[in-house]
Amino acid sequence: MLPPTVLGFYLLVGLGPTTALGRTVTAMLGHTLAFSFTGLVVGSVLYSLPFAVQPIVAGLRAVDPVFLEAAATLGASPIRRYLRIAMPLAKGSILTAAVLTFTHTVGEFGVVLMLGGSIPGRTKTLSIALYNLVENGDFASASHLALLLMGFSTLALVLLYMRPSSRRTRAVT
Amino acid sequence: MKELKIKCDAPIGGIRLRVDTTLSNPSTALFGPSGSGKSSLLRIVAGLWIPAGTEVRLDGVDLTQLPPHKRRIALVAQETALFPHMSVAENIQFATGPRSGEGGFETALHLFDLQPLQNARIATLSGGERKRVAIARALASFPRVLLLDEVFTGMHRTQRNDLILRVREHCAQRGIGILSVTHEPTEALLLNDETLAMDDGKITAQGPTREVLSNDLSLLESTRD
Repeated sequence: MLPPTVLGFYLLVGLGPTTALGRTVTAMLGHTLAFSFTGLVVGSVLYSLPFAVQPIVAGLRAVDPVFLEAAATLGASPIRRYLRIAMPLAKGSILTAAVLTFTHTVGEFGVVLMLGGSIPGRTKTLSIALYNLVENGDFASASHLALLLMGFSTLALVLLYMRPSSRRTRAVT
Repeated sequence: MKELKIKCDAPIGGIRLRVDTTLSNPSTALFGPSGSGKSSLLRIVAGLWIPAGTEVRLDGVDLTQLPPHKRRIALVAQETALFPHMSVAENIQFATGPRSGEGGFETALHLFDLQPLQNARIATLSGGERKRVAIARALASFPRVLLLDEVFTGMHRTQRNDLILRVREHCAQRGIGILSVTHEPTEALLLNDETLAMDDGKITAQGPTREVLSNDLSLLESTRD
């Protein structure tokens, strides 16, 4: 696991104008990824992806193979089996992964600061705004913002755990 | 289906499955005790298990290396494996796939009186209804061979016999071969012209159902008397 600031640093350098990758991406998008909202999203996805993989893999593994075998003998190709059977049956786990990574990303600091640069109106996230408020000694506003972030994270987790528990999808006779 | 050739020699669950046979009747039963290799043989025919040394030929065409979705051999297992996130109609439409314009959906619904259940969720169906939907779905995929793995087990006798006769008639009209696993001699008598008796991974008898199961049937009849 890379520290977020390290990942942010390498992305900043890798996507900058001095590398072939950076120049290609800039040519494709018409602007550099560094210090842009798009770059911020790319960095956050790269940082948070490992947190999504585990629940998604567990969800797909929990799909009873008899459904996939039945689909195969009905003439469904591997891609159709994946899209029409495995993915819908694992949707609970995919939702879990999405919520967990989203809440994780909202609180992320190192990558977004390094890659986004905290530009107001473009790349300044709530976590960075909270840091800036504390840095400026505005504890009252910082307290409100911290409460908002905590409420958001708590609500996301409560909604996640309130839904029916993800269980192995079994065939019934 | 005119001819189905199955050859295999593979270890499974403590026994060795040794089969080398050619089925030329439209409907054949695999009859024998649990653990004799019947269901494994169905999986080999369906392409869900391809052990080394296996050979499956349908009407002279070698299917051995074909993946299951290209064989046009539909398998209905005892657990039915209906897709729980789809309605009855969606389950059947899934099977018709790209051939949806050929009437398979309507025929399958009509054949088993499933029109009133079209929009029902799978979880709300009774055991008998699930079996009807599973067989309808398999037939809607336009198979050349229908594999039935103890599908009729646990059904009420009248319902079971009615379902068997409908399946048999539909398959006979469309030239669909049937290979079914059963423990029930009367079921085999109703559905299958030919029976393969299996024990310990080997075929112990093969011939017309009434002949192969004569002992079991006379035992059954004497019990009823």
